[in-house]
Amino acid sequence: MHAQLKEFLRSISRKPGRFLALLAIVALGAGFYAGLRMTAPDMSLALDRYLDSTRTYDVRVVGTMGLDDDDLQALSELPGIEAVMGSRQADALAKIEGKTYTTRVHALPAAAATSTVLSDGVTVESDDPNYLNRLILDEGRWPTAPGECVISADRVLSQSIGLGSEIKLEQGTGKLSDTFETRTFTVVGTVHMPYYVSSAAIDPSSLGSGVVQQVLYVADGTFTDDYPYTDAFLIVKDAAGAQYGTDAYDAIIDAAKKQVEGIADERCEARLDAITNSLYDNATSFSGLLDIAEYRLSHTQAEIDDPEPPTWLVMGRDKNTGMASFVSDSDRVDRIASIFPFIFFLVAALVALTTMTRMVDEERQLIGTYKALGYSRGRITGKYVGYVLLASVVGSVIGIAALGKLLPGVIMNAYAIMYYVPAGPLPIDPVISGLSAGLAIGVTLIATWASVAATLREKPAALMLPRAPKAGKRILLERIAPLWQRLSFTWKVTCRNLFRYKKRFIMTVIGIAGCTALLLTGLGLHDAINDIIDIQYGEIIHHNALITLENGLDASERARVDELLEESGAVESSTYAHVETMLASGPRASDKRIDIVVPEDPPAFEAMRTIRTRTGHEPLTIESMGEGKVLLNEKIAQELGIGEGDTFTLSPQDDMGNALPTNYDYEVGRLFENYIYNYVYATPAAYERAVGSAPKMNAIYANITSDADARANLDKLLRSSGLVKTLTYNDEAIDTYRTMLRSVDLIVVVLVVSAAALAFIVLYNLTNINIEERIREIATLKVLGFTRRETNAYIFREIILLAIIGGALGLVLGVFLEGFVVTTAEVDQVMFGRTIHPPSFVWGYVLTLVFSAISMLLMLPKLAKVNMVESLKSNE
Amino acid sequence: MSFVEFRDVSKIYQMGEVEVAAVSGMSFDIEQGELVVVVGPSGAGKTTLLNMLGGMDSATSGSIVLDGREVSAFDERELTFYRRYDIGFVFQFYNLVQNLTAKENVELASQICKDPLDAEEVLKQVGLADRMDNFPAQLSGGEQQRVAIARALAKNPKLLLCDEPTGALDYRTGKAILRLLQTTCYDTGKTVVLITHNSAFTAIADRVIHVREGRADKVLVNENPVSAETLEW
Repeated sequence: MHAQLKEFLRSISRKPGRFLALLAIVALGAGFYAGLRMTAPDMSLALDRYLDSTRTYDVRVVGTMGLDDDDLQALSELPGIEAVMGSRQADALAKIEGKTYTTRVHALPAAAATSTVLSDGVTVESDDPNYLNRLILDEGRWPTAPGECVISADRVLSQSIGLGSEIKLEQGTGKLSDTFETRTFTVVGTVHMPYYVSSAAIDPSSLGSGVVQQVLYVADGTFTDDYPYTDAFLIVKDAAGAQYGTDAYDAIIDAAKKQVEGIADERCEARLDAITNSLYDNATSFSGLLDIAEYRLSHTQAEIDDPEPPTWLVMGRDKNTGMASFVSDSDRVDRIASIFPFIFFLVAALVALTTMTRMVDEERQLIGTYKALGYSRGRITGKYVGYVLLASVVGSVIGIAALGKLLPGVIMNAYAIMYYVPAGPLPIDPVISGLSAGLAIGVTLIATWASVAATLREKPAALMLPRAPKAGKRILLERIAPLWQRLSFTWKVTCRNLFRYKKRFIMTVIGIAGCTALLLTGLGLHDAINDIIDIQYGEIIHHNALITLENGLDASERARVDELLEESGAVESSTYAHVETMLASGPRASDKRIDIVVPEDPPAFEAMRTIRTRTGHEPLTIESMGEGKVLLNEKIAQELGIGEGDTFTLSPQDDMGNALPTNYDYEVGRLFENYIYNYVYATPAAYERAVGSAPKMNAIYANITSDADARANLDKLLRSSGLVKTLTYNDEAIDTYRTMLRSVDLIVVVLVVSAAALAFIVLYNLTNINIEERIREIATLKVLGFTRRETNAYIFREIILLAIIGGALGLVLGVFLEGFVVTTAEVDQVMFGRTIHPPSFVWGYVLTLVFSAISMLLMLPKLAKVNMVESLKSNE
Repeated sequence: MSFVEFRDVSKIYQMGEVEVAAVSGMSFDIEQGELVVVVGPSGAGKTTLLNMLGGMDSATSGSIVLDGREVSAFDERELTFYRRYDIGFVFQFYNLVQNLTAKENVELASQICKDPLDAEEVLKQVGLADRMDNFPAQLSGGEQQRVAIARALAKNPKLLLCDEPTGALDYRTGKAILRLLQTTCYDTGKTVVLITHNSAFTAIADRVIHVREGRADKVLVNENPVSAETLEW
């Protein structure tokens, strides 16, 4: 073996700690980045795998008046369609174990009973290719007779409901008996439902709370014979070959949707004819169906009037509430993943820089010897580059291999609270791995080159001599005599030492500051996420319910609503408003969904919603905005790229959420603090000025008692009146948000733990180098008879001071980093909290100091072992 | 009983499989107030002797007694306080703390002692009255060694141990340092032990210990030590 190679290997084996610290920091940096970046693709892959293996639909067709067998036949004959399943479903309020749930009832396809699940746990095989959205039986058995059902195996949904529980349908959108033959069910099994991947975001409903809370699949024969198919689920040819969410998949689906839309008008006419004919024979009510269809368009307030002909709504998976929510969550992970880990690389570079500078200093004479022997500069540099290359390549491989699987696993596990999407294989993505390893190796190599280059330029003769000890110097502080004189001797030494090695001082402070900043970012992100709900529903929104009214109520009908509210005794306060979902456009973005709220009585509305600026909490009122000016929430203003005094456009939307060509211009008066959803607040006058007609009051903001019986009574009164569309309580929204955000919070935990690990490695490394550089000084102290404790205090006082300074700087840095991460990680329609809470500052700081203290404790034996005789023998 | 007694002292280092005796069966006495020169070729065990005497290293066997106390039986903590209160060290390479001024380097030692001498006084004594506020890097080698001596003296130790104190200095400066050590010994009555490989230094000693192969080969008492100034080498 070549002697230089031997020497190279020995420089690793003699001081394994140095090599391992370098390796660890690179492993952590590269692995963390790779792991986080791979999470979103892994999530998408898992979703695609789950949906494909359960043969879950690509396109869903909803007929506003239902579908019949001819429709299914026509759909199956389309060239782009591989399979079609007609499906019946209806919503009902159901009493289960003493509680009432808004429940979606699906007819269970007959093929379910004969289907088998493969050993992978997600692939469902069936003889019937038209059996779609295949269920996976978790417990119990399939329903075999009317009166039996299966429920979701998801614990969040099922809670106290189990096998044997009885479910009784009590109320539907129309007469229950028109829809259901059987209305009482026994739970005989639990299933995983690929159509409902989320337990937090199921679907909107026209009943009860406005969202579906429970899903049942019931045996064939439960629905009445007259009840038509409500939906057709389609599998598009070749779509399974493309991954859901990719452009290739979207292209295939778009083509198929066009084909379906192409036959829609013809089929709807045929359907109308069929219905008209059958009306003479059978008086089936369609009103229930209409309601369902309307509400499926989530949030749109399309007016569908009875006499109009039926239409088809053709929707892809992106309109599936649960799937869309899963996709947006994976986007959120990716957004955090793309910024947060960069700090890791910076810190890794810093550690490499300090470590290699130290190594080159230590081997100064060796470099001189090599040079004197005639080794070229390249070959000498090669040793150090090779050293770092070995550490960073091995580190990257270990880090990516470990964290590339671990982090996606942990994060997906966190999301399992909310979604049932079984994790598939977690492949190591070569592009992300390459990028991550490249970055990690690149920064450490650059840092190494920077630390080696200067030494290598020196002449061999100069290298043979020890580097002249860095001269002591008076520091600025000494010129402030009154302060300096008051310092004890040891403090004077400490202060002077701090400023003596400026480079080391700066490196250490930056290293520590980076770690504190990282910790603060993680903790701040946690605050930001919790603030969304705490501020939105704690400080801003003071009403607990929203009642939406049927369209076009006249004065007497409105008086009747008022009477009912009064009569129920459940309503503590209420105020009318015009609420309409619009699409907002500005210079930077267009067609952002927003609600325009035009309160009839602005002061009464302001009592229900605090309107204020975020910074300074300056109270704002709608009426003080001046003529034609409106209030706009901060987040949407940012997205649209507008500020106070600017103009933006609102357009109404059609049933499918597309902007209609009508534009209304509004001028922004002030921006207000709001965290969830987007709002424009306008006076009736401002609305009229923009739209040209007076606002129609179609919603009531209300405070309703929390008493369950009173609420049930109110619900009954309002529903039977026929004047009210929905009654929604905030509590449910809050619960949903909390569940959603809890999973995001788990990611924050991952971030904080990683930041802590990083902080620890950095502090340990810096402390180690700090001590190694001062072995001789430590030995001198020992010879002078300093006790162990005095020696430790002398050395550690400096490190503690560095930690205190670095930590403080890190808090400042962290504020900026957190702000950056928060705005980047934010999702559509939600603004994260923008303030970091004081406890987070305290925690970030204290943790930094604690890690510092632990590093020092670990160094104690090393200090104790410093050998006076050896250290003082030679002239270093 | 002598001030310092070395009785059959051995120091054995375990070098892997091999045992190496740096000092084996060394015995000698030193009286209080003497200037002692320990001389011998390199590797003879001089430094090991000094380290054991100074409490920086402990003996494998035998007994070392200073002023009636058995140093060879001290544990680590006792050794620390022994170094702190009883011993002053001067090294070949000064070992000053670079970031402290001359005065502060002296204070570094005196602040931990029970009965220290005044730092400024000691520095004046060693001839550095004008350089007290200079940092080591601003001082010549000889001046740095004077600071080191001042630092050792300021502790007011019972024993001043010097390991090749002139090794890194030129002839004239080295001579001045020797002179300083000699006068310190005479003026303050401190016992000074000086290690050197230069046998010319034996002329200034009250007692000369010749060390060879880990043993005190010869111990000679010099009735008429010469002044360091007259020394030629």
